[in-house]
Amino acid sequence: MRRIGIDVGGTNTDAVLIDGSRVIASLKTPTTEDVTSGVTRALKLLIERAGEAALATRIVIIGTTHFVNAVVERKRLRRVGVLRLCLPASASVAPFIDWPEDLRDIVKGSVHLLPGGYEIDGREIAPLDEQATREAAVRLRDAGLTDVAISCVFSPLISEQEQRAAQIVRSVMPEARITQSKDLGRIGLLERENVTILNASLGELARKTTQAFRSAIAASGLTAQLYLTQNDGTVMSAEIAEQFPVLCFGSGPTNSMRGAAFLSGLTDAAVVDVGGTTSDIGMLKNGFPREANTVVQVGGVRTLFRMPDVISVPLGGGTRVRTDPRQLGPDSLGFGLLEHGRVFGGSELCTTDIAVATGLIDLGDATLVRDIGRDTIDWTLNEARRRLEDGIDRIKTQAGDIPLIAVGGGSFLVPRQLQGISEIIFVPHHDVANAIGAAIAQISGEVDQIFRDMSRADAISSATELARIRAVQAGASPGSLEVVEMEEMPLSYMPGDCRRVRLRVAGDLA
Amino acid sequence: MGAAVLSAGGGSFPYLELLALLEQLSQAPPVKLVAADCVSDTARIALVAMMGAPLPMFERFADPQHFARPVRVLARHLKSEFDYVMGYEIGSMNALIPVMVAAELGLPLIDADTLGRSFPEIQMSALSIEGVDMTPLAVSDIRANDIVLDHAANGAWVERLLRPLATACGSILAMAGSHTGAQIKTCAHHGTYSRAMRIGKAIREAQTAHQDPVDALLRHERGHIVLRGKIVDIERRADDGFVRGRALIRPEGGGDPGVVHFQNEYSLVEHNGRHVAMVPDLIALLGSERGEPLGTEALRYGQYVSVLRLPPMPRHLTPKALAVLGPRSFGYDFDYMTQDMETRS
Repeated sequence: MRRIGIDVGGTNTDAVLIDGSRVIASLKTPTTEDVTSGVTRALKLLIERAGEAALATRIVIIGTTHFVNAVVERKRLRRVGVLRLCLPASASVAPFIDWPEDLRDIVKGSVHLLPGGYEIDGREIAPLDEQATREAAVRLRDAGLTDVAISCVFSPLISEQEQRAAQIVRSVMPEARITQSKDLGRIGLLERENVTILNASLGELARKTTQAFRSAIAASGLTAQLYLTQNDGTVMSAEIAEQFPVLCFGSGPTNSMRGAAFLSGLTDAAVVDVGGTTSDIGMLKNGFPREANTVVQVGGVRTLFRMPDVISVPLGGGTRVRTDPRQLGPDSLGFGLLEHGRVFGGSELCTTDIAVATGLIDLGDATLVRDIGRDTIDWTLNEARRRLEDGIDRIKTQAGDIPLIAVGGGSFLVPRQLQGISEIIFVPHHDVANAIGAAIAQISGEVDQIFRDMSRADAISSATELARIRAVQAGASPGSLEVVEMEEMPLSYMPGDCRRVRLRVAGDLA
Repeated sequence: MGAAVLSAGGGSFPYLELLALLEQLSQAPPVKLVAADCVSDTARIALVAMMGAPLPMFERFADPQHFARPVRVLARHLKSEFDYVMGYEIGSMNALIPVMVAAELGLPLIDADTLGRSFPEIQMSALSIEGVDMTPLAVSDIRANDIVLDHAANGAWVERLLRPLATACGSILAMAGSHTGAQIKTCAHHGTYSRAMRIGKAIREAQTAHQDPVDALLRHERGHIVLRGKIVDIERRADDGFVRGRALIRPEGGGDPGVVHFQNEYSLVEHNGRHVAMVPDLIALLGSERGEPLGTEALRYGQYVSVLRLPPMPRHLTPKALAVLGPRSFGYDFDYMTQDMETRS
């Protein structure tokens, strides 16, 4: 099946057209301030190169850092009204309590703690107080807020109260954009609520951005469905992304690792993506990036996101090389590489110059780096090797040597042999691995829930069924679904046979 | 941070409880910490803790009024006010809850606890081991359901009677008991708050200065690294309401992997056919790089960890204590042995 994948990164917008496992065309263009014109241009160029083949494509998948950048840069965010159903419990840690002040000043609207919530065994802490909820909704409306976040204690287990509260808010202000925490749900009220608030805050931007992507597609003459990639290497429809922009936050590293898996044909390997400033090293397991278990902060806010477990090592194509005293980075020429790098006529020595001097890559004017001493070259390459080996050792989960896939514009810095690595795989199109990762993204369904009074086997099969239903609802073809991740944690002190099962299935778009 | 180390894996860093406490202390006078020796024999001391499971606390946040409630109930029941607050257990969130209660009630906090770390059950408290009557006790849930346990046959019965109540109330109960200064002076583990703060400070300072936090900790506390390496396998299973399991750690310098066993807390470390640490040794796992204490739930494949053995408290090593806290109480068929019998004094 033909697909167009686009990666809208901070520096470049990359686009590829693939047909099955074949890359038909690929290109890089600069990312534009307004995002849309960069995407429009990328599509236009892609169609010029691939012609008819591109125009017949029915699926466009975009990976973007636009939403996460909005949070990090504190731009384009909306003020949010917050309802938390919890009383008499959970009042001691208020919403927004640990947010960075500048972000809180922008996002924090009217906040209301209301009676409600559930116990871990599913009973109510207190019934929902409909009157109090309605009064809170009126106050949100009177404060001029249209973006609303609703959270509720243990709503990932039972979500009725949250849904009823959303109905009540909607009855008071039909135009409200409401995010419910159960839809972004993992256990951990504060972090789940943080994500719910961030999502509500991005509602307007998400609507505009997905609209802009659709316009770009229409303007290019394509008749294609738009999908966006999410943190776990799978896609969601533009309609879902518009409702849940936070799910796009970590898609960058994910797409590059998925692209690496596709280009190499490997499902279990280490991946290094060497960019301009850093090398990101991660692990592929069953063709998907292994996820981090630790708390992921976005713009200084604690979240419970599924993010790839990636180690960043200060080594990229623009990393500066100093000779007196000897030091490699950590700073990089970044954008300035083409202007200040020695091989481009500048005066700053960087890793790309070293690579050109020793013949690893042909770039710029090699005669400009002839004077670099052998010892500087050897020291730099050794230091680069040491950093990569150290990073690989930290990310590895098993003893024994494993294959490594090298992608990214700076992958010429990866030596042909590394300790702990059985084989280093360099692949064609490695510089657009992100866009390829977007193009091949699958669709998934996830469950993270506590199961009681059933055997381990029954709990896992119930979870699998639920995850499959969710994946099919999201657009997966049922026959292609496979369990890609399963984690089961027995719960201490809980009555009955009680366990938390986190399970994910993924498959092809129907 | 120090409280997380002293939880011996029973809990991780109590982030939410710390947030609640800092919020509370921003509007209340600071809590005074008092050495156990300075308390008069006749002083009335309220001991407090959370009884239940850690997981619900990620959704239902610790509330100062809730945890002070059983103290108020007990004072009413006994028709006598309390002079001090103290904690049962200096591990993870249960180290912070007594501070909350002390701040809420405006009472000083005693620098001591009754477990010297975390242990899974009430009868492992020094009070129970020394035969001190742990009753009367009061427990409260968040909806103001209050129960006074006027008397129980022994510590094991307290555990057996209260555990179902905790389950009935969403697996979170605020608990308070009443004791005298004389009982605390003779039974409790003294100086454990100071110890937790010392440990936490050492780790934090090393982190800030980009030094090795594990080394820094061992400069301040007696103890040593028994194993340092990478987790290469991890296994968990639930039985009798506990999470039991083991983690396989491949040493950094190569060689055979060591095994860390846990039963809610870390209980035994085996390496090269020897038991290199066992309960009641305080076994702590710290991330090798950042020095963050790791609870059993936070362990995962591929983590670089340092396994520390810190010596038990002196009161953990009396014959009576070892009968309850030694390896046999955790189902192992050997007695407590250690290479160096040095303990904290």
